[in-house]
Amino acid sequence: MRGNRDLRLAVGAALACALLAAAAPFEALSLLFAAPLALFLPGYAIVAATFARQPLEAPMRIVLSLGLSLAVLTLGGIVLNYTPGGIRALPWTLLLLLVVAVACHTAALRRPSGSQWRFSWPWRVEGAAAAMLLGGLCAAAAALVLCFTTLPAKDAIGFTELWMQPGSSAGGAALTIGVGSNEQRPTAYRLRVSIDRNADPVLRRFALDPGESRVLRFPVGEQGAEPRRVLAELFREASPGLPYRRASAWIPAANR
Amino acid sequence: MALYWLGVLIVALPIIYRLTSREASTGERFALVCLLGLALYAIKIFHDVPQFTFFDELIHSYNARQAELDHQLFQENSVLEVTRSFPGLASATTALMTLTGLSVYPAGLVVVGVARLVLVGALFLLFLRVGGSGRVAGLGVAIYAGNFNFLSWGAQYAYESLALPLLVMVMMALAERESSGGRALRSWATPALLGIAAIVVTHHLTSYATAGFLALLCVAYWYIHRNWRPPNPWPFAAAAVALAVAWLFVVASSTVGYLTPVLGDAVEAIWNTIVGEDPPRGVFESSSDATPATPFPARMVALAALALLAVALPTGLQQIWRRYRDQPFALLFLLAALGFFGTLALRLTPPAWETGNRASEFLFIGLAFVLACAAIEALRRWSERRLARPLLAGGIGLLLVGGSISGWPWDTQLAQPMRVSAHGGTIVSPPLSMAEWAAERVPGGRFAADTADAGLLLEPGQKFVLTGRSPAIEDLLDSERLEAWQLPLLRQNRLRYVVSDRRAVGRDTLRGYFFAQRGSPPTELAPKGAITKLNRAPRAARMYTNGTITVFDMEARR
Repeated sequence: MRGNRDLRLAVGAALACALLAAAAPFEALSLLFAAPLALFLPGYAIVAATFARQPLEAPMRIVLSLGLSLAVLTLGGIVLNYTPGGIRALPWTLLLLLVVAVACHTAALRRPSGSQWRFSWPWRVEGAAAAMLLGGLCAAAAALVLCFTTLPAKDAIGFTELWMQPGSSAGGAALTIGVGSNEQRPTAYRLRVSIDRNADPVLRRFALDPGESRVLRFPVGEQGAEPRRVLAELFREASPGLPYRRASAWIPAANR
Repeated sequence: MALYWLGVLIVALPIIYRLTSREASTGERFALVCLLGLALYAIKIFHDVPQFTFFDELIHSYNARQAELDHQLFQENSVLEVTRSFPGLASATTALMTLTGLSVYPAGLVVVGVARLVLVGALFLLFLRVGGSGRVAGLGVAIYAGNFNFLSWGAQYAYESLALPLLVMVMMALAERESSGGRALRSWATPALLGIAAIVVTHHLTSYATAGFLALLCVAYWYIHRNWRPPNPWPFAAAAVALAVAWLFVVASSTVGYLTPVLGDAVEAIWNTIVGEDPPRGVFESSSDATPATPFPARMVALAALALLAVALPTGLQQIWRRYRDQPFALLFLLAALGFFGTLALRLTPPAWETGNRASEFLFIGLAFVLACAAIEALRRWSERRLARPLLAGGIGLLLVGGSISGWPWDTQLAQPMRVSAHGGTIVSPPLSMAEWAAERVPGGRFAADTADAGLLLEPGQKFVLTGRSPAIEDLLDSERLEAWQLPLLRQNRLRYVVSDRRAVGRDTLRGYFFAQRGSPPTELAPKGAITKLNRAPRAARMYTNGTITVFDMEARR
């Protein structure tokens, strides 16, 4: 690839992006390096190989580089699907590096000597346009931050979830009961669990803030010869006579 | 809502206005259409952040996550089986996911974002090559953004959002090939064939559309040049047909079973409407009474946009015939423009509505070029008038807003609450809460659920879930009594968990994921019996409930 600065740059960038994407400490930074490796360089290399003797205008090169990179990603997964490594980071990295290296090498062989591709920005950005572009980017960034901010919605109708699953504890069979509040305001609850028909129900009182949940474990004593049905009822302290949620579970029979 | 549309126009109108000018260079126009494409895509992102909320997105993100987890493509998808056979989108997304460690949501956004850039960039270059003018090309792309699906449906994380840009790239490559001679003819074969192969493994309808477009293009070449010699693209049409057919029979045979009822119902519905057996669907009429109607001013905007398309069409057709009738691509665009108005008739029957809506994205490519020619003619005729350019930009803005209103239900244009803050905490909607609970608390598990719940059980739930009419999950969930066939059906399909949702919107793939809101039309609820019947199943337990949604474990008694 001697004398083909853009091709050497493409291969070098692919290698550097592969290493940096793998080494980056967090995902967003990793994306910064993986994006050129996956979404631009394979297409660029293929374009360079295919059109080695007829340089293309910058817009065409950009569109084809992106489009062909997408095509490589689309078809590459199917190739990897039938290789021992499967769809994993290392096989993907090797495949993309291979595409870039082979295509750049082909381009170097096919190019007439002395010809080089130079990238020129397709549009000269003038003062006013640059200011508008910058303003637009700032607005987009602000909108993105706003979108990721969870906002209140007072009209959204809140609710509470109740769930119950049998399980086991050190002392034998147990019940796990969960209560999750998705109410709009802090709510006080009373939970009544009827584990044994012959015994009084177990009661628990607690309050939950919105988004908070509580998981309670109840030992259920000795398992009988037959499976036993257990009922949990959740009340809101604000309306204590009215069951708000009901859940049930079966305690399995003892192993005989 | 008015503020939202104002925001859309503030984003788009300055770009469109600049595209109407004579002074802008071709490079600037290219940059402007890329900016327009990305800015409008950002609106879709802002609509949904921080998670996918369109039904197809949930299906495809499940596929990508499964591919990442199992290191293999072609994983089973219980809700839409056909998607496993077209793994192109999952493949591209998992590349980014595995290389970066990102989840499917940001990786999917980036992949579709790049695809959008390819779509507008390739469309610009295609129109530039055919029309020979940067002004036609820029205005053509701006008009294309007014198609019914550009702002919402076409920007979702789904296989067509990747395949359509590749189709446009293939068309661009063939247009360039036509204009180049000698050896260069061969060079363009590589991007065209790579693009066709990628489309075939990505989306069924787009691969058939590609084959159809290319076949028509061959005929258009023959019609003009009366020969089949290069640059007639018949080898590419043959390759597209061969690859699509081979993929259909070797890998994706389930596509036949998936598409046949959709297209068959559409044809039957059209016939029934023509012979008067079924009444036509009213314009802006929803399938559900609970869905709020589109307000009158919005309907007027949408109808005005359609009227503008129809009014500009004759001028565009005339210009095409005068200036470009020796160009095969221009003839193809002319046919597509006429075809677009044909598909509007499909909107008058409910089962054909979707077919018509989906076709518009493809046919609008041709219509956009035809209308761009009309726009240029209007600017030429009224070059002395100062209002010509603002009026034209306003007209294209009207197409953008009107098209979006026509293509996406009015009440879902704005984001709905799914995850909101309350007293310093974060609360989530009932179906999402159920799906997150299932993901955390029910390892493995096979579920039966209504459609919207099924979507969330796929992603983020990562569950096997059956929904719909085959098997008869909807009938099972609807009935108020436990009937003899129901438990055997569940056993036969090994469905241990049944999600009973009293909300009618649980079956609505657009609206079923969000909080109910005070002040909105009251939530339509199923009779209590539809839920309580499962309490009577001898082995069942009511293991989860959040009021409207209850999950039964049908094998709890062991």
